[in-house]
Amino acid sequence: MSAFALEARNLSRTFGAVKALDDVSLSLEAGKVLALLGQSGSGKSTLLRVLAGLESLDAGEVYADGRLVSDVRTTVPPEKRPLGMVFQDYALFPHLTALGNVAFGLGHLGKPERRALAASWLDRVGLGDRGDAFPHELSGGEQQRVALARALAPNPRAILMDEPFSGLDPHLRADLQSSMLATLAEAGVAALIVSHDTEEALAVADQVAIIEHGRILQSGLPSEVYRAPKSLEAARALGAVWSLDGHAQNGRVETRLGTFDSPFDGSVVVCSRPEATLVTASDNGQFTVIDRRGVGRFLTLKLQGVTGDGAFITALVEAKTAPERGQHVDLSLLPEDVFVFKA
Amino acid sequence: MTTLDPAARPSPARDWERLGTAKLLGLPLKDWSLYALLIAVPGLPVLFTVLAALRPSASFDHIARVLLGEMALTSLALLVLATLGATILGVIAAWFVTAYQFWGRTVLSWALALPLAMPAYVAAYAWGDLTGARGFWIATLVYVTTLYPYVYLAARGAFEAQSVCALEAARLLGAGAWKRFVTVALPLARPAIAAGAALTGLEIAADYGAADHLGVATLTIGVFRAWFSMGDLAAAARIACLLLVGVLFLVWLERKSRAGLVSGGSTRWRTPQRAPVSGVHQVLVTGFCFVILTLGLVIPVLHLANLAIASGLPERALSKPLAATALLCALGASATLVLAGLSAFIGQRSAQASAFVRAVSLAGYATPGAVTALGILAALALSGSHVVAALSGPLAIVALCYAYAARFTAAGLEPLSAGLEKSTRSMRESAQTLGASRIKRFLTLEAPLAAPSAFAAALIVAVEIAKELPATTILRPFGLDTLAVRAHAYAADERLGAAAWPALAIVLVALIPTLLFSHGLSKSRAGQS
Amino acid sequence: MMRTILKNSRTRLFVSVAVASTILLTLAGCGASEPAAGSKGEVNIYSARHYDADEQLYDLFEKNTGIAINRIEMKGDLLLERLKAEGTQSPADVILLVDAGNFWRAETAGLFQSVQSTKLDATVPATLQGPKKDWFGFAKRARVIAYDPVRTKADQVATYAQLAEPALKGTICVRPSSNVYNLSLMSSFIANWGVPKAEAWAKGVVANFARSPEGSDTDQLKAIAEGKCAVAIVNHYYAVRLQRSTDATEKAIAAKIALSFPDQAGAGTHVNISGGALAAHAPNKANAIAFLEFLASPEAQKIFSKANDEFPILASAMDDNSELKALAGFKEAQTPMAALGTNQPEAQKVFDRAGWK
Repeated sequence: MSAFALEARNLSRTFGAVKALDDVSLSLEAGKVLALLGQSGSGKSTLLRVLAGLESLDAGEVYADGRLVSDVRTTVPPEKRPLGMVFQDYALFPHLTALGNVAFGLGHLGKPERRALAASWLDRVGLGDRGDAFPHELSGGEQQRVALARALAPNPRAILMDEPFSGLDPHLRADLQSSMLATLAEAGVAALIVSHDTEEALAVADQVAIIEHGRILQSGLPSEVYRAPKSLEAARALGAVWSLDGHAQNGRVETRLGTFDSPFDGSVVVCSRPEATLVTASDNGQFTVIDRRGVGRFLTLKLQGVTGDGAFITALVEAKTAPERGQHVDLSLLPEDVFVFKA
Repeated sequence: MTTLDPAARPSPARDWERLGTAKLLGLPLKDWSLYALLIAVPGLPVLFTVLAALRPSASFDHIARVLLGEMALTSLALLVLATLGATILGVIAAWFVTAYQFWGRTVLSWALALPLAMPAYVAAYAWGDLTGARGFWIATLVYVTTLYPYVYLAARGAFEAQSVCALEAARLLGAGAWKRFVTVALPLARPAIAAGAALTGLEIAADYGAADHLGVATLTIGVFRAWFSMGDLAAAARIACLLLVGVLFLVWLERKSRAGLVSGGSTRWRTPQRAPVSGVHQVLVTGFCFVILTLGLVIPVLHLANLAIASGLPERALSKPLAATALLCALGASATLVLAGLSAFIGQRSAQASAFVRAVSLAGYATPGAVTALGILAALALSGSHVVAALSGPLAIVALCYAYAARFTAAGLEPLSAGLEKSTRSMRESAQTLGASRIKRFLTLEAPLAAPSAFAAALIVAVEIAKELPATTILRPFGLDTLAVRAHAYAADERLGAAAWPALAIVLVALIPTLLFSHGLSKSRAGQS
Repeated sequence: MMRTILKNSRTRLFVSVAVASTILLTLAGCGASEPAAGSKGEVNIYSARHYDADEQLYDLFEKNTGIAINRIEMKGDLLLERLKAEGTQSPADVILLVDAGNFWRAETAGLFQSVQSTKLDATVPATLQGPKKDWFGFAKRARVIAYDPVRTKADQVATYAQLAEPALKGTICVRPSSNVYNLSLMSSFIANWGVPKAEAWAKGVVANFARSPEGSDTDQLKAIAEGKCAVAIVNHYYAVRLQRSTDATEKAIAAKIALSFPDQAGAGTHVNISGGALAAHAPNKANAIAFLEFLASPEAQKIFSKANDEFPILASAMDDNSELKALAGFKEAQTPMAALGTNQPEAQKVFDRAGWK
């Protein structure tokens, strides 16, 4: 009996000439949230559909609750999998009330139990008094919560969510995210959330996986992936980075910001994050401030070498001490904030 | 160890891909046996026509030299003018009713569709007798006034479903009412209007009764002249094929018109703001609507009532024809709806199959009822007389329902497809993830959402069947004379007063479903089920 | 699903009304569609006649004999197609047709069988029987010239040929060429005059049109009364019907019209028949023959004459119809009925070439 609520091993799926999924493996633990981060076309939706059983595989296996549900030859249909799914457009049934929607997947229960359970789920998502409302009478946030309750009511082992917060007001998002996490934790359900929004993914996830061109670039704890990306793409997926080309010799690479260790020799790319780039004003500084943007506590600076050539570097600085445009500055980095990748 | 889930079954699409089996029109080959059956229904009479056209013909030269040019021209002119007229009237009426608030709007919004209940041949009797006129222009009037509801209903639906936001955005950009109408509302509604106009054109192409009564030499008239006056089936079939080619061209035009347009429906619903009109404009708008309603329904009905009362009570009671009409409406609508439903269902699976099914159904719609019926007769005759039981009782009714389904699937297909589309793909997949089997999904999701549209489709088809004359005349069994058959029998005997009673009865019977349909439509809103 | 529909009370009402009416009417319809069987059996009649007066014929027959009648009516061409398609399984016993051309076509298609009946032989003249004794005429109609005696003189319309003469320019109204009455008339001309002369005649008549052919025979009579034209070609009974009408307007129309039975000095007026035949595969042969014999009986003949103003084959049957009787006794053209049938396709072509719409 596997410990994982949902597990994918070496999944591949090709559509015509396009490899939508390329040897993808991941696993979900009960009660934990895995965020799958990727841009459009990265294969994240395909992965979700393969896991749900809405698409078949070309290679690999999917296990739900320890049982094989998908492989090359066979596919257990979605209606027989212990999985729930929340679609991007919520897909609420317009002819049923909120209560009716939540009760939809509870057909195996008797009528009174169904109503009671559905009502209790609506309560848990804070919509106990809205049971008789039809979907078009609910706000976006309310619809999302109904969709969540509907997917959770049949007590699935894992729930798959496709960009669940994308259509919502930003200030609503934080509330919904925390209430959703509370509900999931309470129910002990594993969740796979697919998103293209880094902040959102990092906010809700226990684990993060980055997918690009059908391949998982890196997965792990959000803080780990954030601090130790394995590739430039992985680094970019989790936040802004700037990069410089460089040439490494004997395990060291020299840059205008200093000399750093390099795991490779030869052509490399040195990059770091704007928030890790330390700026000191100096009349003899090696860099000029080209541009200054933003209001509030932090400003973004765009810098270039004094010689007027070379790549642009971005730095995030406190507004109070931020240098003006045209000023000369020096830049430095802490070694642990530097990422060096093979070019 | 990992165990295979007992519910696992072979991945369907995978097997076919691995076997390298091709798809035809986007549908897997194994599904085609079922679909072929569906496509055969409207297609069979058309096929019969094409086959008959290939046989040698003694009279076709004569027809081609002497008559064909003029008939084709007349048909074309009639088609273009009448369709144009009906489209203009229908679109303007629909716009008035959705965009403006004026006296009588609420009633007019569903009443304007009522001329649907008036068969063209009945209107022809009325107008012909009232004005004493015959010929091209009175026929155009008859077609325009009785067929504009097709465009009206389609346009009204489109205008109501339109994104209010697009129109308001246009307003903020400085577009006045006329400009908003022409540059925003019309283009967005174009696919629906084109569909309504296509149906109008097809009705005109298939009409025999009105053209015959008013003495207009259309291609359809030519078909019967060749067939019966000259006894030349092949020639008749060739003319019918020419007609069908024109029809398919119409269908292609209409499809082109649909392509590339997104139906910008929003899940949010707001009452469209209706601009109030007053003064001269109020009179014009209200007057316009009342005038077309009067021309299409009120005047013919009043004149027929006049004739009917003048001729005294009908000698034969109308109860039996009334029952016959109702029976055939019910059975025929059911058969047609089953076929249309299955066709709509196929249409969901693949866009190309949908286009093909639709084209076949429209060809069936444009085929004159007599040709359809005679095609069925020919098919029955071909199947051998030992198989053919006499056309009395059940078999005749079956043959009639087949004829109705062949002719009217197109009318039901449109609303049914729209209804099936209400359950979106993500809704269906959601239902799957919630454990609903195929049947349960159909019963609890697709069917309830499609039910109002299915009901509307049933009503439309019922109206068409109540009005239908030629196929019913040919295929009916003993004792099943419908109101239409009765009316025509009197009219053919030049006893218009006696014909007026059953003619009025047809209109009254057809008014019920028309009213239900039109009223129900005007109550529904986008976003509500 | 029902719950959704039933939630809306208006929809509830509509649905219940619709369901109730459908059930009621279906039940009524089921009763209606079953062929009735009387105590003495039944007879199935396929009729191309479309006259309401026929109801009297059927009612009388049922009353006299107790044999139930099942009938179906449609235009002759469609009727023949249906009979051909039904083949040997056709339930038709009696086939009633109008126009000799149609009889010829049906006979050629093998839809009739011969009848041995002394009664029919006695009452129906030999000239009005099919040569194989497979069809019988029971009533005649003449295609005559109706005219306005104020504007036109009787000697201007004494023959069909005169209709083509320039003297009548702009005065003629007639129904379209595709109508079977006109087609048979032209068929008889083709048989008697040959195609070129018939076509020349048609062209001449077309040149004399007051208006493009439109409407029915009755419409032409109305047009004469309204002064739109002075001359028309009609079947006699339409004029007689107007004469005998109780409606004042119709009587007024009839008052303005005179009838000419053309070619009395020549070959005679074109006459066509309305009659019946025994279907080739009749399941109720005896009853069918009984019906055919009934049509030749004095009672039935009276109905032909009184109710529909056709010339009965029994002269005595016209006693109740003085207007009709006044017209009888004219010279009838003796064109063989077969000719009326064979020439029909050519007749339509002649009309087309002459421009007679």
